[in-house]
Amino acid sequence: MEEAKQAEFWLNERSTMDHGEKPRVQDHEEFFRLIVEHSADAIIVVDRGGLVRFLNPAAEQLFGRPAGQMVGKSFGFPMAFGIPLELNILRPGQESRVAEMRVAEIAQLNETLYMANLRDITELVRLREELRTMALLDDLTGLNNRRGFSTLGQQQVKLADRAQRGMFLLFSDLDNLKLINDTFGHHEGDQALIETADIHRETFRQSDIIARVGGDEFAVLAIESHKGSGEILAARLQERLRTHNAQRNRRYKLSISVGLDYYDPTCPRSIDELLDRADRSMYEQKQKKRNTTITD
Amino acid sequence: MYTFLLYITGRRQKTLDLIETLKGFLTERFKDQYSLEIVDVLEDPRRAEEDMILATPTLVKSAPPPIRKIIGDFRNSQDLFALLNSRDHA
Repeated sequence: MEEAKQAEFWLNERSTMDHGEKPRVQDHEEFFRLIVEHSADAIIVVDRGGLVRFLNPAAEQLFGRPAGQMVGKSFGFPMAFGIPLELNILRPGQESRVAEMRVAEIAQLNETLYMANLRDITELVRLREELRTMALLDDLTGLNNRRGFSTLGQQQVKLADRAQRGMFLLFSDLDNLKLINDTFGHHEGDQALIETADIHRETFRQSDIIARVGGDEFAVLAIESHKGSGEILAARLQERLRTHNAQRNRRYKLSISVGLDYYDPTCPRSIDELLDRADRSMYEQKQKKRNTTITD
Repeated sequence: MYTFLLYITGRRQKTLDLIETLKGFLTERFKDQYSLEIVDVLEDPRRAEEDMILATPTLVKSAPPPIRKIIGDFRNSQDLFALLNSRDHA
C-alpha cells in the first residue's frame, strides 16, 4: 500500500526530528486510521465469505447506509483482481451511483481479507456518455451519424449472427438537395433534411437503427426483417413521403431514392459492406428515376 | 441443479455482453444442469433491496448450498469456478 509506506516514512522522519525516538505502534495505528477515515475513496474490507468486516465513512456515504447496517452483512466476494471494474452502487431510496472498484488481498495474521477500494465516478461516466452521444449523433437531425450507425450496426450484425436472423439495410438519398439549397437557400435545405429525417423516424420502428450517413444520405438497419420484407419497407417509406408531400402550402415536394441490401447471417458481411451494396442499389434507382421534384 | 441469479442495472451493450459471457461459462461448466434468472434492478428495485444486493453486477448462487455471492467481473472463468465451488463464500 503506497500511502502506508509514505505515512510510515513521514512518521519516522517527523518523530526522529521532534523527539529523536522511534514512533510508538499506537501512533502508527492512529495515523493510518485517520488516513482511512479521511479517504475520499470508499474502502470496504470483506472476509473470504464476502462478509463486511470494516468500512470507512466514505463507504457509508457512497452506499447511503450506516456502518451498523453493513458490518457483518454480506457484500459479496469482490472479484476484480488487477483490473478496475465499474459497479452500479444501489442506495436505498436514492439514485444509484457508479463506482470504480479495485481489490487488494490483505494477509492479516492468520486469515486473508480483501480490500475493495471504490471511487465514485458517477460524474465522469455522465460526461463520458454525453461525449459519446455527441460523437455518435448528427447535430442537425438528431439521428445517428455515420460513426454511430457503424458502431450500433456492428453490434446488430453480431446479434444477427448469433440468432441466425436476417435484416435489411435501406439506403436512401434525398433527391435534388443542391437544387433546394440553390433555389431556396441553405436554411431550407437544412429544413428538407430535418423533414426527411422525421419521415424516416415515422416510418421505421424505434428499435431500428436510423442514421444520416452523409450530406443527403440516410441509412436504416431494419432489425428482424425477413427476406421478403425489403420492398415493403421501401414502399412504406415512399408512402409516408407522399403523405408528407400532400400537406398544404408546400413550395416543393421531397423526393427520395432508395436502395436495399439484405443481411444474410449464413453469408456474413460487415456493416460497411452492407452500406456500400445498398448505396450502389440506391444509385441504380436514382439513375433510372432522374425525375425533377422541384415545383415552384 | 444449480440455481443462479444475476442482478444487473439496465440492459446496455456492456451488460448484454456480460450476460452472454456468463451464460457461456455456465453452459460449459454445468451443461443443462443450471438455471439463470436475470434481475434488472431498474425494473425490480424492491427485489434487490430484499435480497440485500448492494451493487451490480452481482451473481448469486442460491442452490445447491452454501449460497455464494460474487460482485464484479466474471470474465476469468477459472477464478469464477473456484469461487463458486469454494466453501468459504456466503
